[in-house]
Amino acid sequence: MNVQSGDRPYWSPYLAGLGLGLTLLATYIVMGHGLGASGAFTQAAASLTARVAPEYAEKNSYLTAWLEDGFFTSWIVVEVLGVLVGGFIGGWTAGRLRFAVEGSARVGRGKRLVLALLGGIVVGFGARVAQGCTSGLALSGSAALALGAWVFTLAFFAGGFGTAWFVKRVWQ
Amino acid sequence: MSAPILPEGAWSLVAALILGILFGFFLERGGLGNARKLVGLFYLKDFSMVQVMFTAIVVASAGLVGLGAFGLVDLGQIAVPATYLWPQILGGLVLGAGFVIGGY
Repeated sequence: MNVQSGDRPYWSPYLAGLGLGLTLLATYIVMGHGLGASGAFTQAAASLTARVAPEYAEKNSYLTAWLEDGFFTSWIVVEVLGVLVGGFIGGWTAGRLRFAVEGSARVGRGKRLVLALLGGIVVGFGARVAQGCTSGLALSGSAALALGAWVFTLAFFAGGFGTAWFVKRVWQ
Repeated sequence: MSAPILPEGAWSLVAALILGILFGFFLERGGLGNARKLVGLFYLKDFSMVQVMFTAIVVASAGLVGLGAFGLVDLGQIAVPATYLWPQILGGLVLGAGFVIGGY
């Protein structure tokens, strides 16, 4: 197992994967669809736009599709809030809870946080272009054997490996 | 045919919360809440992300196919993401790049 010094050991990835797979299976059996993540941010963008500029939001067919639900009555938003709670419980009960900025010590905290914001913006943009993220497409879509999801997953790995060299200082 | 159950209104949100909590819990336990472990894949140092992810895909996929074969789940009612080849290639490449820059 790869455990960094000072970190409490994680579960075997196969055991965590089994738990995650059963959770995903339960989601399909109960809801008829899989798990997601980036959709919560699309919902937030749509709900905020409707609040700030309602006339613009009503004319934008991309946003109106998200406006049938309120923010806190949106399935994906409640699910992602659950993810925050579940992640917190997981870290807490394993004794992993602490404030930290993950990254190489060679890159300062400030620069790491700026890069995290930049990366987040790029990830958010890519997720909307593909209409899904690593949760909704790579994980859930692949389990449903969606062709586009497997294509997306391969492209995701290609994009990651292709970019890794340029930012290796951030991580090594 | 009873599944998918497709709860409505408040029940669907209760399901969202419970399933989300389980999702977050197992992600964290697998180390996928840790940016260094996630990004480690792209430097061939840590394979947790693919191990967790592909184990989950195999379990969920086999479960769906198996339950479907016994008629316990109506696979026709399962939402399968549509294929948009070029947007998914481009979006995947962009998302992968942002993932290594930001760490998540």
